[in-house]
Amino acid sequence: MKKATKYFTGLAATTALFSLVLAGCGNKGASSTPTASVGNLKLAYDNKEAPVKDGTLNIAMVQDTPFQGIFAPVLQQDLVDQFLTEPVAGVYGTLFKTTSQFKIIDGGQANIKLNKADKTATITLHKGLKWSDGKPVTAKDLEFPYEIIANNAYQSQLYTDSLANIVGLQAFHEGKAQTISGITYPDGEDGNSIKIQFNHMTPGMWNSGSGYYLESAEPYHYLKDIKPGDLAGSKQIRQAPLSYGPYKISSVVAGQSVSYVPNPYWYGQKPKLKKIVTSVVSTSTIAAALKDKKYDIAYQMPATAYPTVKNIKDYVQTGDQSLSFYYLSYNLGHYDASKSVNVQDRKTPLQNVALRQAMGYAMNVDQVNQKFNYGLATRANTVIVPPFKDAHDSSVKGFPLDIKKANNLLDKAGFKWDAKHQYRLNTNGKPFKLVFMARSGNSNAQAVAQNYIQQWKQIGVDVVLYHDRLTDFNTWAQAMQSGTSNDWDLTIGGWADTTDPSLISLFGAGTQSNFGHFTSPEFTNILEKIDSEAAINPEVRQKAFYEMQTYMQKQAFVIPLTYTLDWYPVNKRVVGWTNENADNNTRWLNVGVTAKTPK
Amino acid sequence: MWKTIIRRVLIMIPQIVILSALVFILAKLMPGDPFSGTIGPNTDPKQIEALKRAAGLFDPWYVQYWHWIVNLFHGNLGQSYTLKQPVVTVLGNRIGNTVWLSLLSLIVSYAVAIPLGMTAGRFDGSRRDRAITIFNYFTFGLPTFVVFLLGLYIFGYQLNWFPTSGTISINASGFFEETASRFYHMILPGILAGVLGTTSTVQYLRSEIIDAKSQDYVRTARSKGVPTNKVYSRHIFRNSLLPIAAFAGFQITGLIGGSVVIEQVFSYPGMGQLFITAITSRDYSVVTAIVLFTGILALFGSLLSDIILSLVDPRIRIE
Repeated sequence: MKKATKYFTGLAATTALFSLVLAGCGNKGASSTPTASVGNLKLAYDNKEAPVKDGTLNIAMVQDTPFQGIFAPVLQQDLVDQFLTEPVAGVYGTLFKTTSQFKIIDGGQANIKLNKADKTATITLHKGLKWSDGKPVTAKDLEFPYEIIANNAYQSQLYTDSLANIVGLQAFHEGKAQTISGITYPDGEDGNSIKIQFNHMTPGMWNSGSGYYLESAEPYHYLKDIKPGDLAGSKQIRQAPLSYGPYKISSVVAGQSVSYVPNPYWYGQKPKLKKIVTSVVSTSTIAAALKDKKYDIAYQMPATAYPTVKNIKDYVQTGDQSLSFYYLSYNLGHYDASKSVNVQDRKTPLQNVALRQAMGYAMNVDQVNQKFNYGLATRANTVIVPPFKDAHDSSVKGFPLDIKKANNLLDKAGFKWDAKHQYRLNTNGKPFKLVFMARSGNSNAQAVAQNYIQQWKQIGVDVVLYHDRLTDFNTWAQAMQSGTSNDWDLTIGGWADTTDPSLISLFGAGTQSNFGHFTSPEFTNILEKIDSEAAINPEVRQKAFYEMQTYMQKQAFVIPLTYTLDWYPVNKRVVGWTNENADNNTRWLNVGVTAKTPK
Repeated sequence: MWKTIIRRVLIMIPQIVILSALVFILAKLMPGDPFSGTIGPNTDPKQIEALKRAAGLFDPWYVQYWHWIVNLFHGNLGQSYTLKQPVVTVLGNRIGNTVWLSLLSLIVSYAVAIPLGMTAGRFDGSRRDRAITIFNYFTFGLPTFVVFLLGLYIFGYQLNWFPTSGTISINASGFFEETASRFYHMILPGILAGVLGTTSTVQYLRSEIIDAKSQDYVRTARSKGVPTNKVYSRHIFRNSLLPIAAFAGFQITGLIGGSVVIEQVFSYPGMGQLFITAITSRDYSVVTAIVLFTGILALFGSLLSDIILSLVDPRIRIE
């Protein structure tokens, strides 16, 4: 499942370095037949039997802590809550239907029409769309999420620069306006459409999840009387939320389990299940639970369980390429908060491109993936993940293990070998040592970090762990977000990407998330090209994406490391299960079971 | 005694103030804050700054502490930053689970340990004693994580006697059904935790009984012709309970502490897990509330232990 926003892959993602075998990945999205696969995993599973009536689907949410239980897409910051909301609000909580590359197309619970000339988007709801209390979903329900996010009284952390592109939203956010002037109702608040006026258009707007507008509705009639500060904790959000999807939430045990039943007011095809029950199961017991056939589908499977689970009878291993990627970042400068700009001014041997490239070539990413990810991982060649077929440039080689090449690069660049210390000297003839801020998080983290230090030693680069140990997530995040930390020279970061492949918010000259602070006029120009109005033309955008990946390969200011995989074991009694992105909007509608109990 | 109790309670007030200040300062010293790592690259830094300012995170620690204390006296423990709920609600959701589970395990623990300890002490050196000692080695030596996993695997997944996760079935409705479901979910973790918690009680009781057997008052009772069973139940048992009683107060207050291991294995949301996740996510309001709460209970536990001791042994008076 993809995420609607970019996230640090942090605390929750302790199964950090897992990914997939890429073979077959290029065909992903081309077909949703049961035979399509992503590495060792099937993209979909559909058994040939007919689903039984009154079937119950049991889902395991594999994690060691209770879930938060905020069942409103507009308030969610937690991926687990997003998963839990899928049966009621779609896979991304989006009203729109998309292609496998997340381009919005007609046919969802709402359609969108973007007008380049007027700089507007008109969102029109399906006429039969109703809340699970029988009331129609209205234009006001489409506008209400903007009020929740932009009104500071709701204390949302989700207000973004991208949303500020909507005319009048910033003024509303700052309390200078009572209403959002850029959002209007062509046929009134009780109608079924809204028109959004933007300051400028960007190519990402044609993609779902890009963040330039919101894609879900909230029931204004049901929530309007709740004090803003109490909304996230309210019964209407946590215990009895309304739904406009094929299912509605029927009961919730806080932090433990959620049950869903068909929404009687759903306008479309009747769901195939009488009930869905999702329960939290600990990472240490999920393999036993699947052996005992307690669950039909398991979410958030830890990679360490793969060798056991893949052999369990009557389960099919399905999965999909995730939008997460991991990379090695070099600290080359600082972030000037007063000017909101990154400055590449740090005095470090890493300013030398050859050293950056050599360190990339010294990393044995494939071996790490094989050893610690049970064959489910693959080396990343660029920071654009393969599901974005139009943007991902598979001809870029990345940094495969090549010690000889690494040594040659360093020799040519003047990093001479010092026989006395058994390390190389800087180009100025002085010894140097680099600090690796490696995050703790999973049981393999120490071994992986030490392995890379060993690899760099092989090419004569002296690297030590920050404070001689792994760094906890909070300390790491503080160092990254401060923008001025000199405590580290290199680190491994990860992002769960949005459904728009633009990376300006991660590596742009003005973004605080550009942890390495690399900037150049050339790179800024390329990034801006990707989001320019001219790039609304797909060919122009693809060319810019390719140019960006080639430039990043050459400059090596980040080293792409791994792509990650979402893995879902599915019991053979399940029918209609698919991870195909093009089916996101209908996934839960088609899922059924062919026997009363798991096989 | 009452005077002493009141005096002890009064002494607790400055202790609690110092404890709360320490907890508050230490929580603030941890790197990061509740907003660390939750910020997406598109998030407006000004928005985060505004939220931090609204949460008072830029105020000096003593200002934040003062606000916290004032709110505390108004019964407001604040809002959980990560769970987006009032801390009182968050604690309310968890504390019941933990208390009932701990209570069951405590009852099981005493129900198993007291007869075993008495038997081992009374028949020391016998086969029964040796068997109990071996049992004790196991309960002491086996890692709790392994026992819980094994117990869950056998009784939950293989024999299907007990539920395998959670505190209640999602299908339970109505008071009696919900209560029964809660109890049913508690049985397996409660028994396993109870049995694993018997070690010290069995060992203390055994050595105390062996000691007491050779005491003058026992010899006197025997010489007066008191039946052996009565000697054990009326004379030896009561005296041997003293060290156990000394811990009882702490164990009762420890009921709300929760066990991270058992909560994780059985997906049983309780205080232990809440505390750990609150620390890792820097949810200050939850961390401070839990530490303060458990600190206060520990102080009361100490007092309670003294009171129990004086009740068990009239010779002991707290002055």
